[in-house]
Amino acid sequence: MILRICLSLFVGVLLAGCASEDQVFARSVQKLTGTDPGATQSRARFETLVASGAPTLIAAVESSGQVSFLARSALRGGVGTWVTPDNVGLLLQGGFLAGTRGLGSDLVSADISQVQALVLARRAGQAQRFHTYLDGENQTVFRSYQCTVIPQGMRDITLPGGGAGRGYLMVETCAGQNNSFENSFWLHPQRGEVIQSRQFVSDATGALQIAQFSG
Amino acid sequence: MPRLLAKLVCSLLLLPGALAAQDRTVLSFYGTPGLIDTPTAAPLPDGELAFTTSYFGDTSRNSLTFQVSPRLSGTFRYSAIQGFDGGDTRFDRSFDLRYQLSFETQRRPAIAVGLQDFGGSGIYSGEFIVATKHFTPRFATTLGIGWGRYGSRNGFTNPLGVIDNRFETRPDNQLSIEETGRVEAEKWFRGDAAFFGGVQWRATDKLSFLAEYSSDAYTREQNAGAGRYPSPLNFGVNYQFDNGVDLGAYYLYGTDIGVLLNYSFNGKNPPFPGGREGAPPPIVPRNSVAAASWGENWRDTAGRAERVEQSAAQAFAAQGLVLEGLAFTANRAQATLRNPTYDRFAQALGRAVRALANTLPPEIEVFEITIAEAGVPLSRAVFNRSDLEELEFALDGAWQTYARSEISDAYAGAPRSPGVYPRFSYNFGTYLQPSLFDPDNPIRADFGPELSVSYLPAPGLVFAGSVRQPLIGNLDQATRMSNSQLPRVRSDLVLYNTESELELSYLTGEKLFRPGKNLYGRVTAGYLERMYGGVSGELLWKPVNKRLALGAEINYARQRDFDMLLGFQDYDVITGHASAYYDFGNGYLAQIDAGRYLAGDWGATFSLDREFGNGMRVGAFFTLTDVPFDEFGEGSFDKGIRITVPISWLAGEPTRRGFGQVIRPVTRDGGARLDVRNRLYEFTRGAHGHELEEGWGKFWR
Repeated sequence: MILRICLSLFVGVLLAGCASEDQVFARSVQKLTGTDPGATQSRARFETLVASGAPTLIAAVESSGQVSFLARSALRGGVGTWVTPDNVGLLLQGGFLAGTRGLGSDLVSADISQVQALVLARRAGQAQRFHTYLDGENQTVFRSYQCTVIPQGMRDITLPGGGAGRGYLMVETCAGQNNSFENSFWLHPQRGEVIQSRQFVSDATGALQIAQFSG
Repeated sequence: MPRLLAKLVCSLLLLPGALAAQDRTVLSFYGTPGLIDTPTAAPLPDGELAFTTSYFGDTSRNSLTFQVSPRLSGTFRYSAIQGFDGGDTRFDRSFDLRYQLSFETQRRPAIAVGLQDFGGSGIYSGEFIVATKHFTPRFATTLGIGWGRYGSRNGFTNPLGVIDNRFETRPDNQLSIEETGRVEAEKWFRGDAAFFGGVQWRATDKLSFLAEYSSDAYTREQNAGAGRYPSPLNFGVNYQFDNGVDLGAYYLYGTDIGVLLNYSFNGKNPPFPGGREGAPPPIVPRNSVAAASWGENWRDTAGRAERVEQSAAQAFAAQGLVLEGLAFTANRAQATLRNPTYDRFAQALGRAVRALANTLPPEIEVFEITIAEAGVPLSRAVFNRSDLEELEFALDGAWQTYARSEISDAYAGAPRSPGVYPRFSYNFGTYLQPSLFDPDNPIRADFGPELSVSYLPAPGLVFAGSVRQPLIGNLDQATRMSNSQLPRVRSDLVLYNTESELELSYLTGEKLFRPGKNLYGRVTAGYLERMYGGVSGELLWKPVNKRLALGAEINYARQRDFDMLLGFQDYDVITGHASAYYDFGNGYLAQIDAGRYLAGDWGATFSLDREFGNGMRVGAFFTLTDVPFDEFGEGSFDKGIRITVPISWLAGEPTRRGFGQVIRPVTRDGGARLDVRNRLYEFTRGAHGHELEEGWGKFWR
């Protein structure tokens, strides 16, 4: 409620002003009135990506239930950058979350190489993973986690769009100094790549559910 | 400005409290860590800001406490005591300092020492040493010894008399309001001492019960007939909401019911740590830039280099940046960047390098980006394109990129595309002009529309002006006229507010230039600020990667008419300062300005600011000049605190706008400085080494 009152109050005073250069305020107004050129731009870019056959996936923020499509806008050095129509970005390294951009309380970067090796090999074992975040003063904060990876076997999964499928489930349980979390990866029965996953981003954002459209 | 206020208010309401309630220190009626009316040794977290308003009997107090460092905190307080001045209300401003001698451990208590109202002659002056220990996680006891006010009930001979007999008497010159504000250290810890103490019991995580024995007899209030204070025992309950708000209800001194409202948050913890702006464009593989392509002979093909620049300029614009020029030498690209968007210049650089990496021909290996403001080159950052490609997703990518980049002065100049100048910009918005601490009405304000325009015919040459029209407000209802014995260089504020309508805030021609390496120059002429017009010249020496900067400024200023239109009054003055700036790191900035002030007085201003890595800034300053304290009038010398809240702190999206407020307990004419726009230190600082480094976490964001 407070949020809504504040928002309308804020919009009210916003509309009272305009400037030739201050883009944030102009954009906020336009965002709320649906005329934001930035938003139009990123939506147009998203549509161009999809039209040109870029791979797509669907992701949901578990805590808020927000769901969005993403299209891969770049792939370089094994890391794919995936964007939503409203320009939130995910960095995925072969299906493993290596960063987020614009979720709020983002995962800046991650070293997931050890976990990735175990999961893709469907092997049980111990692995370390490293995350970086920004604190409230824009300083990099490092977090290291000790993780246990355990194969769970073949499971039924619901594919995006509603179809039924099968995936080999690998569960990764991680503990760090300040927090702990659990990630799940479902691997393609034959090709072995990650087709669906549930991966931790940060304490404030929680976990993302990610599903690839099978090509 | 009101939109900023609305944002501020809203963000504060939405903010998660700095700490979960159960960890938050309870504050006293003085707005400092305490039980009810006496202090405890419980510390506040580093960077905490606490606003407290309290009310009981004839007394109300409004305090702002800032935890300057983990051990040091400062408080500014504005109090009103009804019936203190022969039936009239006394308005009192006081400053406290407090130092944490030790933090609580398993076996030892927390210990703090404090100077309350250390002006020494104020109503609230008192010193204390206090210890607090938790006996269970929910039960804490406090015991302290106090002097001055805190030694006034059941006092005993000062034990410090053992050291020196002089401690046993407190010089008792009760000063009139005209004489307040002096720092009289010879009073500290003098005279009778007394014990005080109490207990806090956290019944639940949010609810605390408090009881204390106060050693404050309220002698001066009782003598003045302001209230009765028969009992030393105070009791209260305090409820701490998760959003940072505390509410308290109390029974004090055997006679009065009191209430307290407190809001605290931490400058280190903006609502959206790391920001929530959209994703930056990823660096695409270089061979796909080649495919986009410019061809191997792009340099020699007619119009091709221009098309490269056009496409880079578009990529800049998509990130809210302006490419003011682009040139190529061998495998090196030199770009001139203007940043109207990002409060952290490191983020602007991060977005700019990606724009370049995604548009420039693949054989370009080095990006040399010059940051320019108003066409004046401020610094230059050099990156290897392959480093950027390597580190974009690296675990410690921000720091590694910083380590491999090279940041230097940009004195040699920067490429400039035709068509960038002349440049015109405008801003139509609203303003809010507050005025604090008028005894008749402690908060006054005007609100109305404001139009600012600027025109840059060439790099460094700026014509700018601003007009505003008060729409609603009560600044013009103030009636307190200046009683200053000095030339009325600032104290005629009321006349300016009452005799103006449509106001020309400033109208200047300005030349900003680079006289040499590490040197910056500014000449400004016209209507410089609301009260003065004239000519101002400034020179700043500020090496990009050094902590120290030195500057000098000289001005001829003439007082403007009270209607703040085009006319001038008779008073004029040559004023100027030599300034030294030092960046201690960790966000602590010091500044000393010595010279001649507006009233013709000579002296120096000392300032200390703490700037958080997110741009939130809190500082304090004082000015001592050759004007005697008696002649200065109330407050004795100029001093104040200042707070800057960047909009990005609140909104979580980058913008260079902010909301700043200087709070002076009283505005007089001694130690008053001209308020010229674009002073060079702030003009250059954001683009320089240390500031860039502190914001570098945002480079890949």
